[in-house]
Amino acid sequence: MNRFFIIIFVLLALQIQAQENSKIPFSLQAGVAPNYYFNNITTFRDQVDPINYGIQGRILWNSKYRISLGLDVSPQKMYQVNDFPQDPSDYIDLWAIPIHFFIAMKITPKLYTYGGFGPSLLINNVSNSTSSLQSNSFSVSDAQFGLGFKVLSYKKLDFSIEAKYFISTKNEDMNISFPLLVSYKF
Amino acid sequence: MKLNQIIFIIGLFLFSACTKDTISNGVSLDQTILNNTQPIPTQYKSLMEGVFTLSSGNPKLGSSFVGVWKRTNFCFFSNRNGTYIYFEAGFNPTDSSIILSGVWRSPLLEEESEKVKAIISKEELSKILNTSNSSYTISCNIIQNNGNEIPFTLQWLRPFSNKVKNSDFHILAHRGGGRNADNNPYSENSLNMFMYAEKMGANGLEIDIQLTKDNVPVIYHDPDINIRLTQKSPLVGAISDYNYTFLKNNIKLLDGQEIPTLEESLNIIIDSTEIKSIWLDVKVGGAVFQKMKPVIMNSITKARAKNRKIQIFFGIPNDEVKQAVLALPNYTEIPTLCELSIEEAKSLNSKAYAPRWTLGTLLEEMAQAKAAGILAFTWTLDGQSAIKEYLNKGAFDGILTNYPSILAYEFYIQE
Repeated sequence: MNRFFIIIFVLLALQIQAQENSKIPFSLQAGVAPNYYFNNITTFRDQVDPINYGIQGRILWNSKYRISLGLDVSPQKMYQVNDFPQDPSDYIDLWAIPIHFFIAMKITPKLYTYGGFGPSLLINNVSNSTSSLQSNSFSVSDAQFGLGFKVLSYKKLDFSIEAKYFISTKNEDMNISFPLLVSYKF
Repeated sequence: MKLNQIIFIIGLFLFSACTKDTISNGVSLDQTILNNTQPIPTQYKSLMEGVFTLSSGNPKLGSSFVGVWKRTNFCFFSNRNGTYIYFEAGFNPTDSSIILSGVWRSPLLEEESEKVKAIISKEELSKILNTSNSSYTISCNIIQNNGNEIPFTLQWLRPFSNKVKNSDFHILAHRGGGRNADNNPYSENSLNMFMYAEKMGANGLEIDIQLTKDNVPVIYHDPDINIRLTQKSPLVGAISDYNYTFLKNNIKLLDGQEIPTLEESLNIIIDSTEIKSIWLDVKVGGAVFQKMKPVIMNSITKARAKNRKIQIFFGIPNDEVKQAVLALPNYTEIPTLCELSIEEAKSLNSKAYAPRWTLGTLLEEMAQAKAAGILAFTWTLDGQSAIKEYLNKGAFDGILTNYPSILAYEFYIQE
């Protein structure tokens, strides 16, 4: 719980500095994000494929200050594991779907930073040559932090590239991703 | 750097900070000291047991001890932080002494375990054998991991009281011996922990039951796979989502052992320990009792065939599990342990009643339990002063604790 208050405190401290900015209150963001998993798996560590991908989805309210608030739902494959020694047909992957309260702050007109926190749905897909199953669980206090750069603006569209660090606390899964985003302002 | 940025960075560090449970097997006792020794004659063992005091040396391990034989180990439990020493012993025919090689450890201290060697000289041994209740001394050395030795001497003060000798008290170790959060050498709810628990003073075990997707009862506390209990693996879901063979192949407990089945666990407890009671803490309702019943009945039959005295209790911690028990045919014949109330325990024909310790000593209910022939255990009592108080003022037949070495000390030292 302390962590929650620390984040709130930091974000509020940042907002004090905020200045008037956007005239368009809402934006919808979507994109794709290749990612790299920081492999801390002990069992079958060598079978882990750490390079994966995710999809980005956000809706934001842009305040009159530098701050934007919204919701981030960005499914991402954290890792996949195959070539198991006992059965090469075994396959396991883990998807994380964060459902995060999201806050972003412009540093310059093109550069922004952001953070998000909240729960994530974890989906374990397990299969082999004869069967498959899906196991779902929740990680309740996950977080993401990132830095973005607006590459191009065209009418109501913005194109951005980001670097994002995501941590799922339930089993200490972490990755870094590089989302390519398009924002539609409305 | 602005204050905001500093706060932000500090916040990130705090967010990332956490403590993980780890398991350290620690040092092993030095078997070479016991080369060329012979087994201790049985008649020596009961004479060696009793209450000891630290008569000289560093009180690092405590100032008061009880010494008890637990199968082949001469075990000492101290008054300090649940510290215990377990020795293997051998009779040295060349100088008629007893050589002891052991290890000390505390579940409450983060210190690594250290070796201890000790000797009962021929002269001291003759005091034990020739004079009833004669004080004798054990000369000991802690062998630090850097090779330095810390000498200390234990002096035998008195035998155990008649209250202790005539008691059938149950020292029940939580989670099969102890939690991962404490300084224990093996994972909680693991086969190695079951075999080790007696060295910590336990004579009973509480173990946790979950059911796999293919209905195999396994010993595991939490409903899901997580890094508190297991080495980090690619799996994160519920235990009940996976078949047992798949879990066996893909999941390792924190110390690398496999998740044991109920059958494996009962077999090893019956075959390799002198544990006298097992409390099966059932974490799920539904079909679990139907799946457990044949396993347990087979184990009871096996134990009887070996003349092994052991009581196995099906735990009933809540109404959901109670309903599952009531749905079984002939449920009153099942040896249950009811946590709900003494009235419910009676109506279920339970063999044991187990109220939470925060309810107090419940002397009136204990009297009802005794009158009905029901054993009474309280759980989960960890504080040394509370354990002492419940032993002195309570009337329980056993206490469940995360620190059996503390309970063992407080039990055996009673006058």
